[in-house]
Amino acid sequence: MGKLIKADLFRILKSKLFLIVAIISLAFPVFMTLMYLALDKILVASAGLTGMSGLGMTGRALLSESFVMSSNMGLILPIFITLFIAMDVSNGTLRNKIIAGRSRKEIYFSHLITASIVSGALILVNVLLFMGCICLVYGYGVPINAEEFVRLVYFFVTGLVTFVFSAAVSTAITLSIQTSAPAVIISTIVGMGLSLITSILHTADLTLTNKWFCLIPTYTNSTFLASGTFDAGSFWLGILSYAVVGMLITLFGLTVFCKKDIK
Amino acid sequence: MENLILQTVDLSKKYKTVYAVKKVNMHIERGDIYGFVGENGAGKTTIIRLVTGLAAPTEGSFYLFGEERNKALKKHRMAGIVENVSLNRSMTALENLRYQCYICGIQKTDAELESLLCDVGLNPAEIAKRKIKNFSLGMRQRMGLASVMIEDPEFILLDEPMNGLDPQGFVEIREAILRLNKKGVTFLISSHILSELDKICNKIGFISGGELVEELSMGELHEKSRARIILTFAEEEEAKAAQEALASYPVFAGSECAGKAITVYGERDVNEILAILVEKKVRISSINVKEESVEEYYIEQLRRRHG
Repeated sequence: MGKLIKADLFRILKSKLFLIVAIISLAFPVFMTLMYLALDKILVASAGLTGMSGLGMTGRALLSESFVMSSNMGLILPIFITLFIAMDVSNGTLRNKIIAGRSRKEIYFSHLITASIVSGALILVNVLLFMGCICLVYGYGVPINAEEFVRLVYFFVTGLVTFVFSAAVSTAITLSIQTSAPAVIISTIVGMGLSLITSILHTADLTLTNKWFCLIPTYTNSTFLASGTFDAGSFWLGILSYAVVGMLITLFGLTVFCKKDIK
Repeated sequence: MENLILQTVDLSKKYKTVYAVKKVNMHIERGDIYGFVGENGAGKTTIIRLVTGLAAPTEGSFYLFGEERNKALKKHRMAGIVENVSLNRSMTALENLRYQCYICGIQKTDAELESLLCDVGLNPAEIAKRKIKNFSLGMRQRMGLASVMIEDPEFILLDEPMNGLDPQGFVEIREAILRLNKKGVTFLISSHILSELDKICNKIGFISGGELVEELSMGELHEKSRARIILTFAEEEEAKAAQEALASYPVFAGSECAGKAITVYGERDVNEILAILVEKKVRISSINVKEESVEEYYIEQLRRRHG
């Protein structure tokens, strides 16, 4: 399994697609920060406002732009992961793995782990850089005490788990379908669908009125992003939801992949 | 059994109501270069896909290295090219070989990988750092063979390895196959180019409509294809009587009766046949002595099969 993960990481690092996504991941935070700065200047110049910092825009507040499934990296990463796995099928290198005696389980999990590592690493770099840039310009907003530190840990763990979950969904869809175009479309629809359900629940002002909503994947993440406070119970329910739904999706993907003929 | 690298037992693959492969029983022994011949859609690739584990049989099974399918597929003793050469187009030749090393879980130095490229007639100095997408079809075929050889397999399956090769490429791939075979590697090669298989294979299997029509050694094939006598009779009954008469002589044991004709294989004495038939009072309409190439024999087999 380790060797297969090494092979997949080798392939991903050699792909142009990865280079493009990595550049986007690095450039986007800088671009967003510059955009906020420009907006700041326009506001000051046109309306005599004191700028975004004066409107309460801080690093802490702008963190809600991160780890969002329905925009930016949240849209790019599932497509990238889907294409990366689909290329293994279309190049025929997936066939090489089977012929070399690798079991389908090994292949599936090596893809899942590689996708999770790459997805997690790219989103983490993206968010940390965004935070760094924003904090550099506007500051964090509140002192980082023990309570705030715990909040940040919750925030990062939930965010990372969201993207690992998304990688698991993309892996299951791609290895079940084994064709890139439909897999990209379905992965995007599933990601957007989950975000949409979460948004509808929020619009209905159900936020935290019922903790069990946290059992809907991505709900915890978006609830957490939307609200200033968050309790440990909701956090663990959210993690449990990702784990259970993620495992069910993985089980489904693995079963289909193991039964299906390789293209 | 110990000497058998591959044995299929009623191996079948059915897609909905259509059999792509039907009850195939083939045998490949250690050291064989087994040629697999059949028209487009005959089931050659499907059989290779079944044996490599890319597809699962719907009926029957197979034994690899004497072990049952599920056990055998887990062992790294087999390599192959199925359908197309499987390479990463955005990687260079050396990177592709390195990637294959990771997949197989083995370590090789750059020098060892470059020597593999030499073995298949590729010049490492020229192509090692060129991306596969810039390779010609023939170069890709050779790269495919190089990547197959990485893990020193005991059994290599090649699906149409001669596709897209120029005459020089034919020779190089042929030499590479024969060189590896001398080292003990067993091959299963599917191809349309029967004359090429004729130069390297020691055993051949004809497949048509998903069924293995005939499996014979190259010696037997040459025996059957190079010389034969076709006897034609006015009535089917006469042909059957003649067949019965000839069957009592061991030297004519392999003769075949189809309709009003009997085919006697090998360089046989026509006078001897006539003497037997005269003795049995069987009237003969015509005698035709044929010598044909392996390809003509194959086409004749297909024609007979499809009526």
